[in-house]
Amino acid sequence: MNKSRGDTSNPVTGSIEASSSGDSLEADDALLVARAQAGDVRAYDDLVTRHRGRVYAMIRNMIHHEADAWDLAQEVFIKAWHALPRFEAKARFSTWLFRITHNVVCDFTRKRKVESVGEFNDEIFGRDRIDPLASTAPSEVESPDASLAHGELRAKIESALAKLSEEHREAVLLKDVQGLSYKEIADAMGCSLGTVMSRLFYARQKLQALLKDEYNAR
Amino acid sequence: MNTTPDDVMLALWLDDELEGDEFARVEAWAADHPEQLAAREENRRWRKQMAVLVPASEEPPYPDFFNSRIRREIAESAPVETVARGRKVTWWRAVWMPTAAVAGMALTFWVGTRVPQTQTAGRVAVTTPAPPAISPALYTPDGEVKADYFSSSKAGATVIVLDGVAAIPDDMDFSNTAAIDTPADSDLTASHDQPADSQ
Repeated sequence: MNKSRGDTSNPVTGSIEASSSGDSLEADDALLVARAQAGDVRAYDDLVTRHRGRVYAMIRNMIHHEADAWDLAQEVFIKAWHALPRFEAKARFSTWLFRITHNVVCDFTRKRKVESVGEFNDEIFGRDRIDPLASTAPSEVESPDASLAHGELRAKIESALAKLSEEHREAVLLKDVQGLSYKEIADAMGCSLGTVMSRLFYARQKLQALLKDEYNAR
Repeated sequence: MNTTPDDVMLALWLDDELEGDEFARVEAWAADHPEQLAAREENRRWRKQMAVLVPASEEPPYPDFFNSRIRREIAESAPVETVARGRKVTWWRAVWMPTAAVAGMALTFWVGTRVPQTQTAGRVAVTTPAPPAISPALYTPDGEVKADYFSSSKAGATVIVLDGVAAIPDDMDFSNTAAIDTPADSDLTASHDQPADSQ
């Protein structure tokens, strides 16, 4: 069976990474948001297609679990739909989504901390019990090419990111990976500009210390 | 006018977020501070490396299913909001509704006592209201496969027709498609008593 992960649902709009300039992207977002606020579900579906990649990547980098990231990204878009009537075009739609993402991930990690006390770890039933050649076997996300090119270093960066506190990790991901401005990060994380600057400063220092050998070698 | 910028201005300049006059002011000040210029270069190098190694966007697995599930959730949640608004009942409704419900039950009971006991099961089945039609979200991982859903409450049947699926070869062994049975697994499940004559 074909298990292609390419997007076939919406060839017209495409994902946000495939689009050209930021300004036209925001203008398109604004149009789609206006239509979605009027109840147009197809317009909202286009918005999901455009932004799901960034939301999913952000959550996956925060919690390092593919299946949970998939579910939480869904939750973000469902909550965003319900909150859409209250969205005002003061901020970018993507920044607003990152704000919802922040809340969803915070709720998830808080619940996980509570529930994990004394919990039996079901991850011990690992993938080794599943035949990798099976028609129905789940596959890993990383493509072979990407794995060859950056796999090892990326794994080290992910490992280093996992050692940061949740706030520091989120700040560095929003700034250095998602490219948000300090102001947008403050809006998304619900804190002051000074707090963002402080978190980012310490997060980068710690990350660079953890990756000292790899970083200096490049 | 090379005045020292405050911490906020400096942080914004180090991350290339300043524009216009503010940028020009800090840039002029930094010309005399090579350590700050080096720090900005270091930040740029760091951001570039992070952007290359950690993807900002990554399609979720099965993206079309991702969207269809959201659409379904949205469609299912819409009536809930309507119901929530409907909960704001007025005082006269609060009195009238229980009274009407009791009267309805009494009427149903009375009608039930008048119906002959010989009524067939077939007639009862015909008068039973059909469950509301639910149209499920159909997802096929292969984009070339078309799925159609048919349901008949009369026939008590649900049929999903897949158009475009490749024929399954006759010699396909389904027992080897999903799980691997290891000797350790079979040891753990249950003890199997060997017949005495086989030992």
